Amino acid sequence: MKTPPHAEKLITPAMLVLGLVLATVPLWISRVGLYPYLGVEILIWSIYALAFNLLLGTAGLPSFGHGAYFGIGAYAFGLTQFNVAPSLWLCLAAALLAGGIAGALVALFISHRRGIYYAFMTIAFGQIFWFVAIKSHGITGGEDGLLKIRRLPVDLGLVSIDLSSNTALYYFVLLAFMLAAVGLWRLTHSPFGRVLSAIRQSETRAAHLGYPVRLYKFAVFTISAALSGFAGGLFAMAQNSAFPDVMSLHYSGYIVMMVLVGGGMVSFWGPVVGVVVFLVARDVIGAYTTSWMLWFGLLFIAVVLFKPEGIAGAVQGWWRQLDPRRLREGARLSQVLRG
Amino acid sequence: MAVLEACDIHVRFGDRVVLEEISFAVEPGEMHGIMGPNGAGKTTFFNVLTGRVKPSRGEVRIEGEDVTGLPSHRIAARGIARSFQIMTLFDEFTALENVEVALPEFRARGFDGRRAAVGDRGFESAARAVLAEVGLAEKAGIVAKDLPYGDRRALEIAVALAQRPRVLCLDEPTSGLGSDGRARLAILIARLKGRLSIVTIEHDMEFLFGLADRISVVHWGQVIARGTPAELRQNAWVQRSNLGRLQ
Amino acid sequence: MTPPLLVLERLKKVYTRGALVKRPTFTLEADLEFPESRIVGVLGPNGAGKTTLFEMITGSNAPTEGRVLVAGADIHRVKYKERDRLAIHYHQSYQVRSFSKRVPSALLARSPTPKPILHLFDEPQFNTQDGYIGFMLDFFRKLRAEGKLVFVCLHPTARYHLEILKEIGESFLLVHGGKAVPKASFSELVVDERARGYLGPDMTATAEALA
Ligand SMILES: Nc1ncnc2c1ncn2[C@@H]1O[C@H](COP(=O)(O)OP(=O)(O)OP(=O)(O)O)[C@@H](O)[C@H]1O
Ligand SMILES: [Mg+2]
Repeated sequence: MKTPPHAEKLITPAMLVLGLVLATVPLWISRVGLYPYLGVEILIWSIYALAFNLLLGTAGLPSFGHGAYFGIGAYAFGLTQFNVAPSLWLCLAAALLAGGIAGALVALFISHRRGIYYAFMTIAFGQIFWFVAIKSHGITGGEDGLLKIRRLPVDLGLVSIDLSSNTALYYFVLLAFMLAAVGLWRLTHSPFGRVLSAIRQSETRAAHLGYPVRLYKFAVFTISAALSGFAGGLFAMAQNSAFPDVMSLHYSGYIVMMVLVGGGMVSFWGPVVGVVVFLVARDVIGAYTTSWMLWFGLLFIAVVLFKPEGIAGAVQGWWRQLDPRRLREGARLSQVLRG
Repeated sequence: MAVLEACDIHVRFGDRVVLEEISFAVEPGEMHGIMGPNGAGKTTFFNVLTGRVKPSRGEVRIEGEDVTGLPSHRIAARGIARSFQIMTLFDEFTALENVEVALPEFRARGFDGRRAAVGDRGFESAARAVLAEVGLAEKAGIVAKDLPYGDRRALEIAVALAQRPRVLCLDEPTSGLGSDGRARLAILIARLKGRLSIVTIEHDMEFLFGLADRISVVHWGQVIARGTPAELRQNAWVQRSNLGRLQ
Repeated sequence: MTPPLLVLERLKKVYTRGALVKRPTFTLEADLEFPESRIVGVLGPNGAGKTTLFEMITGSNAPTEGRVLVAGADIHRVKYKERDRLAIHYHQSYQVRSFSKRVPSALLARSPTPKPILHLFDEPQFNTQDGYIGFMLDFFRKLRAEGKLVFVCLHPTARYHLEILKEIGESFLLVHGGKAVPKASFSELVVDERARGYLGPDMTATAEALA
């Protein structure tokens, strides 16, 4: 990922535009034949995808069992609500913490690995968590899931905002998404993010520059897992339940597909593009055929074959061609050729 | 006291003994050349000095302190910088970003995720000074993979210098360079000499004999000859070689 | 009385082919003694068995018959780990230590010497361009001065190869036709018919001019 313009800013123009556009979604989403809950889903998965891409796109660490942390966050949200206290803040903090602790535990065992071995270990640990979730019937409800999770109100002391309507929830999740995006944008372009990117490009070189590579890999995995857990907590609240299937290998595969199709390797916003395309495709293509995954799979293969940088990469390419400086250069070149 | 010292180093890969009883010391400000035929163990020796390969016997010391077996990042943090025979730059970073990330003050803030690295005046001015030193001032904004070969070699040295090392270890810095590039590098090294210790692996004897204070010839994993260029030059076979003919 | 540095006692290596009826495809015999420190130039055509001879001497290739005594100890009966305290085999640019472990190490004897006394250099790469030759020869001389026995195996294809042999070789060993034949001096080597045949007319003429 090359350093994009406005990397030094906390809030970029693109973020403002995106925030404004997203804020209008509930006004028109039903009119284009979709429904407000889809917006909620897109935002939650976008947080998850951005968190995942901190690991894959920035640090270059392939985690193919990331659904585990998303799922653990979902369970943590529900279990805290049932067993500790039905407070939104507490439950979300628990989701974040549970994802982070699980991530830190796994990171402890895998941070000295590289490449394919790293990937395999993430899968193995992901499977273990999934298996435990299914088998611990007493705690997670097993395959039946954890039901009756409530959408807790936003308690601000004096006022309390109810989130039971999809539109209210949408705006709450939008706020969370914007905060996550701002935080991750800053993190990606901070010294920490630069070191992660250096590690992706050459672990050996980074080590010889004095960076304790393992510690960085540990830290980024933990952060990514924690934020994935947070997204999982929101998801549990959104769908009023938590199921083990989001922790399964094929759900973990979805997030990889979303991020790669969207262009997470070349662009910070690529994962969000991927989530939108994936979920809209699911609903639109899914309306015509039950085998929509086949079509999305084909799209994924096409992207990997023809445009490995993903949709964001393709857009960047067109953009560069439209860049006025390029156009001027082109004009000069044609002048030279003529003259 | 020697800045960097190795005693009785032994390294074995399978049934190959690649280093045997190598001992070596670099004095402050000294430029020490290492030469030897292909596969003699020169790079492996660097790998031992910089913590990449753990020797089966022997000791590495930095200013008298035993650092054998420390991971490479710890050794780097103690002021041993190295370049690689096969260039390893951060290809997606610009020249400036490559140098910034190598600065000790950047490393000290490596876990800081709350402020922007881009546009930090402190990092940028320090990095620009290093780039100017190796003649890359104009190319700070160019992505490393788009730089021409000679500039990439220069950038490698800038990255090593940015670490403000006590010892600079260069593995075949002239490889792939034309005579212009070599001349440019020789001037740079001559200027650095004295300010810090330099250890250079080099096949180009002419280059090395012109710059080094002392030279160790490594073969079969051992130091088979060591001395000043003037001493080594006395050898009749050296006189007969290209180097001898040059004078 | 100190034992000779190296004794090859009715040493014989036979490689055979065929499972039932074994036909010998290669034989090498040597019965020699090297009492003291010196530099020995080893020559012979490709496939004559120079490397096999070196492997037998360093204890990595067991002889079919006979013994190799280094400083009085049969190297094939010395603990694998300690064989490099007797002899070292140098390949082109690194040292090899590979021993086929047939007998448990516990049953083997210890090395009588702490540091190797035999140094065998198998076709070191000599190149006049780089100037390393001088340092390599000095290294051989240094070992010789420390009381070691040094073997340098080389396949002469250019004038300077012969110059090297002439410059450092105190005696020679011609490995040819299944035998290792000692030669006391360069001039004695040059008059040998087998050596002349192996060197070819051009190199023979060069060698005669040098001798
Ligand atoms: N990691 C490793 N595993 C096995 N063998 C190795 C390893 N690294 C080096 N070697 C072997 O060690 C020997 C010395 O290699 P080294 O790279 O140190 O030589 P060098 O002197 O740097 O050569 P060159 O001039 O070609 O760079 C070679 O025979 C090489 O094959
Ligand atoms: Mg090398």
